[in-house]
Amino acid sequence: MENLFNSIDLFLPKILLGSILGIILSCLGIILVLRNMGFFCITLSQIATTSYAILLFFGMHGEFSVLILSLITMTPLLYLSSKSQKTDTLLGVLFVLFGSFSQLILSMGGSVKNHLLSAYFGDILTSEIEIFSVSFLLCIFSFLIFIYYYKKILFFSFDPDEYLVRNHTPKIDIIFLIIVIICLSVSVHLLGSFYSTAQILIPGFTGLFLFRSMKNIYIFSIIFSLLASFLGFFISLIGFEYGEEMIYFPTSSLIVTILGICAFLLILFKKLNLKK
Amino acid sequence: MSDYLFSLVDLSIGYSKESPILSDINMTVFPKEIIAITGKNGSGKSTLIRTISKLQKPLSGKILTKDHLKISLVPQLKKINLSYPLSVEEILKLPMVLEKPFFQKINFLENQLDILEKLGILSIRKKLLRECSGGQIQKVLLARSLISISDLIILDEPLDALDWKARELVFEILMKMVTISVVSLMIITHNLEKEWMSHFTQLLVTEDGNLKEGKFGKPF
Repeated sequence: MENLFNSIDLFLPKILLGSILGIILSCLGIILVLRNMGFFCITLSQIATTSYAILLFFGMHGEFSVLILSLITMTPLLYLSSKSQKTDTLLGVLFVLFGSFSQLILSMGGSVKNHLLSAYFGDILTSEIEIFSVSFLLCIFSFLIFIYYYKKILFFSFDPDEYLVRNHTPKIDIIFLIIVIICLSVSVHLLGSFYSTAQILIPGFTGLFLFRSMKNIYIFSIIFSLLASFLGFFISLIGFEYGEEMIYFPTSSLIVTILGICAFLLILFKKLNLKK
Repeated sequence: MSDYLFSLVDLSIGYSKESPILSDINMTVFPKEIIAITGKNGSGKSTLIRTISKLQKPLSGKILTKDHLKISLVPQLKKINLSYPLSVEEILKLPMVLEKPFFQKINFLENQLDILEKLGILSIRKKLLRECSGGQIQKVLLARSLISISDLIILDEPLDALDWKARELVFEILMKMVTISVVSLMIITHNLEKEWMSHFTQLLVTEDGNLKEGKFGKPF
């Protein structure tokens, strides 16, 4: 425990960055869950992971390269999804396609293998991330735009027909989807695919189950995401003794596990309470 | 003729040019009109209102509209996503965000509160929409259109979820709206009460791939 406090300066920026990204994703996730876009998010994070793998394969490591390639790859996906009647099937096809493509690159070995594994599972504490990186600041800026347009985004999400009849343009939806793409691809690059997907889906989904107002759901999602992140950081940093060895869990996976188990228990508790 | 709201000229609508749902549609709508469109299920009523509302492109022909035509749509109940934890008040205020700047608090005006009172939804404004009955939800959707400034309100089967008494009340409010403002109404319905016929300026029927003039007293 003493070691933990001595090395806190080293980990604090990473803890802060992981927590802030978690909060941003969990807030965006509420609208995505309400719009039944969970599968869309999973496919997006898979595409971001593949973009990361492609760049690693070509020896390009710039944080902007991942973002730009993700945007280029995701734009046709958005276009196809808006035109297709079978959106879920299309997303499924793209998911397996990009997943397989990542595996093909993975099979080529070299440094790609390790990097790609961390792109999937991520480990905040061991990743080379900086709190004032340009992509992170871009993520914050995108989130501020989300807050600014929140009510219009909510209106479009709730009743797209009435919004379009009154406003004649789906611009607000395009803005929202670009915000999601930016935040998700930055998060996948910095913290891993599983962590990002979990933060976007689990707090929002749980909040919608437990609370009856959007305001309370947002407050719950932020607190839930923060607590899970801090608990995950804390447990993975202190580790625990198993036999004669010290075991340290990978942080991102631990946070995802904590989010999942707590969500399950909270929903179960609510269901049992309702039955009474 | 220049003060029309919109005019449909040789319009064909549907999803493929080979088999349009409705073709050769010609009609003009002016301010303060009340138009009823009726017809069997699948005869193209909803496609017609989607095309007029510019949610769907016509296959051929023209839609001429007055400058800055403001349309509002009252959807069918089944098209509303009730998983959103939004109260009646929040739903009613949603369209107002298009006109108000960021951070400006939205409050109901006196005349808007009056409409909510008449529709009987003022007392349930804090209730979640998903906890309202079918009739109450229908009234909320109707109120959302009535309290905003529109030239044309399109109502897609607005009366079907209501009982007889509520239908009479809603129809009365709609007629009053037309009297006190310049709004026009386009009502898609299966339930045409005989007493309402005299209020309609046009009665149209979607039948055999065409939009025909309907006969008063022959409801579907």
